[in-house]
Order: sequence, then structure tokens, then C-alpha cells
Amino acid sequence: MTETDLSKRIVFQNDDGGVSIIIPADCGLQIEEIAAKDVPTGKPYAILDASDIPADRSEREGWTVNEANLTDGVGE
Amino acid sequence: MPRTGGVFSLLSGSKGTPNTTIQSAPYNAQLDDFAADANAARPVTAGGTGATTASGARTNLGLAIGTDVQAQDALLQSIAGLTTVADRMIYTTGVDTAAVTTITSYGRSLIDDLDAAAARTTLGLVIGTNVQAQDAGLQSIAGLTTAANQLIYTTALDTYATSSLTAFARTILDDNDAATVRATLGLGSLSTQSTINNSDWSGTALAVANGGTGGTTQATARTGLGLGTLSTLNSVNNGNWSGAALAVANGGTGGTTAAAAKTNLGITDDIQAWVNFNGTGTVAIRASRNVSSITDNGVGDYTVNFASAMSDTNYAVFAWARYANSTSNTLLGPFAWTSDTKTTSAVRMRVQYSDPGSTGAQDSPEVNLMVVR
Repeated sequence: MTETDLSKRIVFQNDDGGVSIIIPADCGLQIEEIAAKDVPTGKPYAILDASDIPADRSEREGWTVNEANLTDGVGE
Repeated sequence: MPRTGGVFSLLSGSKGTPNTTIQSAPYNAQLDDFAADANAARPVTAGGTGATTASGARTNLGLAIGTDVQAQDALLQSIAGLTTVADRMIYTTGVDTAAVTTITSYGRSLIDDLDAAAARTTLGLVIGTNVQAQDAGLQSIAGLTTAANQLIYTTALDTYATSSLTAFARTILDDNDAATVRATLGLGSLSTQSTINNSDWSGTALAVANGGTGGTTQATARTGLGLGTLSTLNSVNNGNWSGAALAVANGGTGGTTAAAAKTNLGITDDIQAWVNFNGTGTVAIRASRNVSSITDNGVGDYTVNFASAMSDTNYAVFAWARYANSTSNTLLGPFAWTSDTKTTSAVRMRVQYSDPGSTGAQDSPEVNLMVVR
């Protein structure tokens, strides 16, 4: 079974204009496969290191993302 | 006495003198002497026996039976009647009946021996010199029936039997050493090797039919043995698996999907997916099954994405979340808005606290969700 890279995160802009972060599970799928499957259809996404995501969630609702940077793919 | 030493003599003065008168006294005395002599036993010297009894007479005559002469005996009488010549011996043919037979000087040498040992020597039968001493083993051998080309061997103590001994076997037995035996057997130098190694081998590749591989390289050996590429692998994994699903009877599941595998294995697992994750700080999944990811949509807002889709949306969702603080009088409830996602591929849930006088979304350090169908 292929090992999933658990150190990665998938970022996309949700319908509310906020930021959704996909945390991969150890399911045997590649991070790209997870992104393609779990990112809502048509939404662009970026794959980042988990360390790039702030651990301080006190302002979680205020997080934003520049959609122009979501260039790793589009949800299928 | 009229006799002296057996000789009778006249009494002195008994004879008459010529021209003289015979006197009565000398005359009578002489007559008395005659009478006494006549009535006495006549001595042997005078032709008598000197005895008045038969026994005394035999004794005086040197004829005492049992002393001087043999008593009359029928056997002796028979022997006395035999006609003998040189080299004869007497033997009985019946009661008190004897006859003669020839006896040689050698025969006499036999019967003059003092004991059995001397007799065996005379006969040339000295045990250990002329003849074998009695032995149980030799007795067993003597009882064997032999034919050509046989050997004698023991089957037990002092018990022998025979077995075939061919002319070829005798050519081995008459060899003086191991090298000569090997030559007799037609064995080459390989026969003295303890092991056979590559340097000893000079033939072609040993055929499979003879227990070899038929090849001189690993590849040709594999070909000879009918081995495919799988034989060179250290392990079998999904990448090199090309067969059908391994049947349950062979230790597999018989299915190419989890659902098919569970069906074939008779597993009626109603839990379709579950996940335990930390919703605080750097959100991370602790453990899960059939979950490809969770989506952190915001504070207390998560979507659980299934690795394998549900068969429909009629599954049940059970969730539980741990409150982040230890505030009393606080309720923490996982729930979903009416509009929240619940599809065959994902389900969205939210975690919200409820204190007297306030309520709102909250990240939980431990969120658990289980999908049952």
C-alpha cells in the first residue's frame, strides 16, 4: 500500500470565502489523489507543508488565502 | 620206620646167615616191618602218592587243582581243541565255545595301549593334531548343503548358513587393498572424494531429469526449472501481483475490494468508517479507517472525507468531542446544520459549546466520528 505523506496539507478557499485545510489520513492514497478527490469539484487548491499552516487558531475564522496561489490543482 | 627218605631197608640182623638157624625175633620183626610198610602210604619215590587221600595224593603229586593244574572247564576245553598258527587270537563264538581269528602285529599294537589317549595316538587320531575337536560351529558347518559358488557366514552364535559368492565377488575378495578393489569395481578418482565441488565437476549441466537444473547460469537454470520472473523477487506485492484475487481457500480474500473481501470472508462489519483527530493547534488525525482526510473548514467545523464511498447516504453518524476546557455547566455537542454536507463520499460535522448565557463553535482536542451502515 502506498504511504500517504502526512506532513502535507491541502488548502482551498471554501464557499464562505474562508480557508479550508484538508488534513490527510494514512489511507494509502497519494496527497495529490486525496486533493483531487476531497477538494470540492472545481475549486483550486495548493499543497503545503503542515508547518506552513498556523498552529494558533485563535483567529481561525479570519484566515484568508490568495486564490492566485492555489495552483497545484483543481478539485475533481 | 621201615623207610628212610622213602627208601625201604631191611632191618638190621633180619637176613639169615648160611648154615645157621633162623631166629624168630629178627624174623618177626622184619615181618612186622613189612606189614607196617605195606599198610603205610607208598611214597612218591616208590611209585606211590605218599598220601592216604585223593587230595593229599594230588598235592603230593603236584596236581593240586587251582594250584598246580586247571580245573576242568568247558571253555578251556574248547580252547584246547583249537588249532593255532602264528598271528591268531582266540575269541568266543558262544557260551564256552572259542574260535581263532587273525590278529596282525598292528592289531596287537592297538590292544597293548594303556589308555584312550595312547589308543588315539596309535590310530593317528590325536585331537588337535590329526583330527578336529568337537565344536558346535563346525558341527553347524558340517550340516550345510553346499553347492558351487557359495560362502559360509554366521547367522547366530555357532550357526552358519550359505550365501551365493559369485566369481566377480571373488575377484573383489582377493584384492589386497582398497585401491585394488576400486580398480576391480571400475571406480575413478571421484570415488575417494568426500565432497564434490565445482573443481571436480567436468560434465555438462546436469539435466533436470537427473536432479540438476539443466543450466549453467542462473537464468538458464530458472528456465530449466520452469521458474518465472517471480522466482527472483524477494517479496510479492501489489506491483508484481498479476493474478486473480487469491481465493479464501488459498488464504486470500477472494475479492479485489474491501467490500468483496469482507463478503467472501463472511465479515458483516457495519462500521464503514471512523476517525479520531485533534481539532486544536495543528490539526492532525490520530487514527482512522476508510477516511482519506478531514477538512478543517473553520473553528469546530470539519468535513470527514471517506476513502471508499458509502453505498448510499442512509448511513448513521455518531460523533463525540472532548471539551477544550474544564469549565463546569458547559455542554459540548457535535452536530450538523441542515445544509451541511452528507454525501456518499463525505459528511460534515460541527462542534459547539453551550454555556448558560453563551454558545458558539469550538475546536476540540479530541473529535471522534463513526459511520455505521
